[in-house]
Amino acid sequence: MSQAQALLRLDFLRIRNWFGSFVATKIIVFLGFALVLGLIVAAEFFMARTFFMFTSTQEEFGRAVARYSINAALLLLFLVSIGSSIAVSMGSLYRSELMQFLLTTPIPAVKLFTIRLVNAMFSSMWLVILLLTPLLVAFGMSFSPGGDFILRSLVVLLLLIVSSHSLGGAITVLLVKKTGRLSRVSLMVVFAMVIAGSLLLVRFLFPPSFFRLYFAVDWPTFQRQLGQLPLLASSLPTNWLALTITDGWSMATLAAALGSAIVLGTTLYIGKRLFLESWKKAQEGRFLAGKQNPHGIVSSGYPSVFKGAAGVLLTNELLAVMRSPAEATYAAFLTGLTIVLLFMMRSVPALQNAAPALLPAVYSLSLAGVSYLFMTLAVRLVYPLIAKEKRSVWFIFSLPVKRETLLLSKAAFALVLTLPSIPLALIAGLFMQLTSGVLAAYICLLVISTATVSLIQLLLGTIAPNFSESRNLDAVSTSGSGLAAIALSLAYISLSGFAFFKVAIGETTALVSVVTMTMLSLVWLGLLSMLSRRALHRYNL
Amino acid sequence: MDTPAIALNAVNKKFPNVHAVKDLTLSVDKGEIYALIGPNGAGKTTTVKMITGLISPSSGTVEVLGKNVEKDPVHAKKHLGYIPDDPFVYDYLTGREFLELTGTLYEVPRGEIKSRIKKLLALYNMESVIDGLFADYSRGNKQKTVIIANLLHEPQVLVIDEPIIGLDVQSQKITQKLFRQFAKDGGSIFLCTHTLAVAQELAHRIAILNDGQLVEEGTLTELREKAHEKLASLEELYLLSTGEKP
Repeated sequence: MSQAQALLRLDFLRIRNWFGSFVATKIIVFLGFALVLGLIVAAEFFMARTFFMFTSTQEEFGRAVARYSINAALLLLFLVSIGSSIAVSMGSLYRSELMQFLLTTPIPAVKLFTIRLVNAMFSSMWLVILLLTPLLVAFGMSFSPGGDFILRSLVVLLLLIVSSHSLGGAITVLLVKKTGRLSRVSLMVVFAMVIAGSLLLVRFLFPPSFFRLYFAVDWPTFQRQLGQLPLLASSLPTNWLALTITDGWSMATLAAALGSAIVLGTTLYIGKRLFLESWKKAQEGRFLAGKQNPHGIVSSGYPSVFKGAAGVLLTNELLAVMRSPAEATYAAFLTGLTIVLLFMMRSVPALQNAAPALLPAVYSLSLAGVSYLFMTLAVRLVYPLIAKEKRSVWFIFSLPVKRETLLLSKAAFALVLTLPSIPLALIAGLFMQLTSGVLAAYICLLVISTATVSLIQLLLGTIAPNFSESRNLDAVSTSGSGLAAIALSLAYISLSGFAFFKVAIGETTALVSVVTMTMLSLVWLGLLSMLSRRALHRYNL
Repeated sequence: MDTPAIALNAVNKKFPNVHAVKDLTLSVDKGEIYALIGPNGAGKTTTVKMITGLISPSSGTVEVLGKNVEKDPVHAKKHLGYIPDDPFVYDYLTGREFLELTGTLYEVPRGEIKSRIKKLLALYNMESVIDGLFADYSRGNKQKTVIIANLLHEPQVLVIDEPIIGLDVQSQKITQKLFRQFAKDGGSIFLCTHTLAVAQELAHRIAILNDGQLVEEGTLTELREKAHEKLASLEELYLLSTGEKP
């Protein structure tokens, strides 16, 4: 067996061994996740199909808007995929304990880099496939893009995955090479860059000239205005991919293929030259064993922000997120997505003239969308709160502090994470120009929804913590209780969206909706709290 | 009669398919250093975890200074310190932050925490590294920080799982001296170790656990007498008790 085969077999063994015990439970978990993903994909397909069916009736205008949408989706996915591949490559190349062992074996570093890059590509390409496929299928069904549409779509998917992941891998190596371990300052810079980038992206996708398209009186004017949009610049690689989907094979396809090959080649070259050097730099840190105080270390006590045992433990949770590059960049990434979503809401009032009947549904979807983003944050940062204590259990459970106090501190942390939902709800409501009564319902339902979802994640993560994955936060939620937490959260989000829809169409009052959802929340959380308090005292670690 | 520092009464611990601790009864007096030794899988760590309240016994009672660890965990743990074999601490905290966090959670007044940290750091000569992130510490420095953290609240009972692993010779000597002084001042130590020399040198009484059962208990002299081996080392006695001939 070659070295490459042996390394790839490692991943096969990992998956096989995961299914080695508790097979029935894991198959249920697997099927459950497939069901959740299926529902998300189906919802996306339904929305895309509705949109494309509508645009297909608008002749050239509709076709042009559909093309623009495909183009925008490709650019968004390209950027999201780069972000996701940086996160995965960082773990796969630099944080993996296995890498420490593999680099002591006589395997060339470039081979390790290539295989781990392919591994990272396989781990995170599903995001692109799952998000792009429903869109392409809906487009194909609504327009008649030709007999080779499937083949063209597959080529575009492949090129998008290869180019974005290669670029993500290269950026990761260069980032680590430049910074070594990410400092707090560089983290803040990354955070600021993601937010600024998101704002620029929104400006890029929906410039003021985009909204003037609606007022174009004839096809030539429309075409001219559309052609001036920056997203349709002929030098933009995602435009080459979009043209392949919408218009067929062309020189743009060849350019996209060549561009992807060049990016891949450059990444492999960077890996060959810099990977080992950057890996060593990342490992160095400041090894503290000597008698000399290393340069740059200043004395600082434990921040006394909150009082009491629960307050001190809450501070500890906040420090854990603020000082972890992985968690902080994840939060930054979600902040970026939220900003994009928020600015999309700015164009909702334009529907007032075009399709006013759609407005209540769009409002509800925006509420569900923001809640969903908060859920993804809670899945990553709140659900694992108990499971990640596995190695520190000697400390945390031997303290003269009630275990309920520990849970209380984690609940406070879960709620602190949802605080941004208050200003977000207000801004979203103002952007969408909701009336005061509807706005009040929007704010209340969004805040209740995010808080409930966050607490559902915490409580189910307490009832059955996934201690077997306590060191891999990405994988903690891949357990039975993780799936249950996601399913329950999605159910609550859907109900919140439905409750708001009823308010928006005037079938019920804001007060009734808010009281109903609050009662539902109290019942669910009360039941889960009882079970989690019991579970807290029964861990066998 | 004085309340024992630690008292285990007919304690059993059953995991699915494994009866880890069987009917274990023992007590540690105030001012006593008690060492529990035994082969891998004998049930030592399970016993330690039951004393520190990390896991519950299937039956029997565990008391620390007369407080039932199951029924009154907060009071039982107030005067207890636990030094584990794997000194894992939150990587994102500095050593000083961790020490202050621990002191605060044990409700030691803030000014007192600072002065005790200063005193204990000087003991191990750790002032130069304590403000670095825990992730950057060597194994030995992690172990020393955890030992200091467990002395901050001036406990009356220390439970220690492998006390000197990872420590350099100098730090081993300091640690042993520290523990001896702790017992001399009236504190009790329950230690679990594979380093028999440490048990022989430190402990007033030694117990041998094998397959979840207490097979021998007593001072070194008593163990020798029971084995009719007047000059036997602890290692030889241990091998005899666990069924392995020296």
